[in-house]
Amino acid sequence: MSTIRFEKVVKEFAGMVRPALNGIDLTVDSGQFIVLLGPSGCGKTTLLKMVNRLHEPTSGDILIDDQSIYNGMDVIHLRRKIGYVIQQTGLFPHMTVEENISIVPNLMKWPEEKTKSRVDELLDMVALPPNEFRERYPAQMSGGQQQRVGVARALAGDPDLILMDEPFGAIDAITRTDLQDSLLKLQRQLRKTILFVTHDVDEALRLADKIAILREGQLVQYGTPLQILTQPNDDFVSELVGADDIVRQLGQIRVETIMEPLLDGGPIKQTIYQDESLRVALSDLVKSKQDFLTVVDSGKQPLGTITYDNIRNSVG
Amino acid sequence: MDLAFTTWEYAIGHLDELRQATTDHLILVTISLVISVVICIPLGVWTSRSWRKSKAIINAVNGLRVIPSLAILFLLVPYMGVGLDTAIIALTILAMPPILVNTDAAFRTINPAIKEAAAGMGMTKKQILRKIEFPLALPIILTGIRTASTEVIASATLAAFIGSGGLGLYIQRGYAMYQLSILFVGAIPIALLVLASEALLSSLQRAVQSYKSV
Repeated sequence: MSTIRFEKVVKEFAGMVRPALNGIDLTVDSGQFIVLLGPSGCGKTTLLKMVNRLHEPTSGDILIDDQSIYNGMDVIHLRRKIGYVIQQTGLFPHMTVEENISIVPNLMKWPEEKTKSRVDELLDMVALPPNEFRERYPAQMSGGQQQRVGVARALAGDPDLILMDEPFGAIDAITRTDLQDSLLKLQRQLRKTILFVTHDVDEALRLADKIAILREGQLVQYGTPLQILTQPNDDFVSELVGADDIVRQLGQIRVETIMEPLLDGGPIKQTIYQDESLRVALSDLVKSKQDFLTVVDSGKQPLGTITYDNIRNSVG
Repeated sequence: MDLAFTTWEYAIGHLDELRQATTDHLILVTISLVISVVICIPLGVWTSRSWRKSKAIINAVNGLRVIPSLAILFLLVPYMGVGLDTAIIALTILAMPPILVNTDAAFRTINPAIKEAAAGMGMTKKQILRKIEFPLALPIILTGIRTASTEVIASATLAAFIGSGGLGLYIQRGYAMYQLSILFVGAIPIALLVLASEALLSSLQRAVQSYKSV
């Protein structure tokens, strides 16, 4: 459980012409993956860092589970209950993987045994074999591996809410896709509330349950990737996400977001994985000469079906 | 060959005195270095927090460096008299700049993203200082201590001129008596001490930053 509500949040920095954030109202439901998207300087990172109070708003309020984080809440306590991931430089270079992941459990004074088993559990979760990686230093790992450790570290204290500040920004495209897939899978198991900052539109469309688009300190649009692509609020959004390029849109929307849930058993035809894009689905439909595909999860369990009509309607 | 022999002979002949002089020398060096470290590390942490303080203090201390060590020594004598105290103060002043400058630089150049990650995870300021900043700054601080200890071991020689003992005794005596061999009895152990301190501190330095290279 962790909902976040931003109420008329304003942030002014000394010596700047316009406020970094100008009256943001935004509600994030529990268990949702929210991406804050926008060009650099739009205020997305500032907004994120207000949730763990690395920045304080000039006016307005932020509520977690309907409790203001500014009224009588201890900032250190607040931060220990929120996972925080930044670019891979955020790992402590003088600490091993195990020591890095153990930071929050140690701050929370967990017993040593519990922390140890938690480290192994988390390393397994992010697909780094504990025996191989526990004792390594950040410098002995690739950027992608470091970032997996960063995610594991944020999850260590089992927070309900996780903040991610361009976590995959400095990573090559192939590894990034890999990390995004892992994160989606992880989120499907854990159902945390995630706030994720990026300037990469493709990343936002792939990962988000909902995208909040910011521009010059204002919230321009807040909606599902599909809504943003098909009903952009204005030219800025339309241009940012490339809304008039249908093939590109198909490449960014996950099958599961538009499939029809499976009502009864029904015949199972050719299958497609739930995280694949509509572009792959379309291509498979054409190749298979079927009128629908069966959408399955990673355990090959059928979840729903997808047809030509579904795809055509989605891009409306 | 002859010189080596006479040097050796003189050293053997004055073994007890030589042992005492070496001990005095080491005590002088150690006390001055310890005082400098105790003053300069906290001071360096403090100056590193603000660009203004850093600029002011570092410039002032670097100014001190211009004064030759011999001059510091003799400048102090009219006020402090001769003796161990004066020598220690002079050597401490000498040791301070490299330690202070390096501490300041070490703390100022820590990647701000790392500090922010630590704060964002809920570490207190004290915990960040102790668990994150200090270990990351340590290798550079040690470099400063290395420079300082080389300077202090060499300059402690001058302490003999104000009656504080140490290996400078032989330099002074050799110079006064115009005998190179006596001079060497002081100079060789000093060189060996410098080499030993270099070896000790550089291996310490390697040990505290092993995470970088492995």
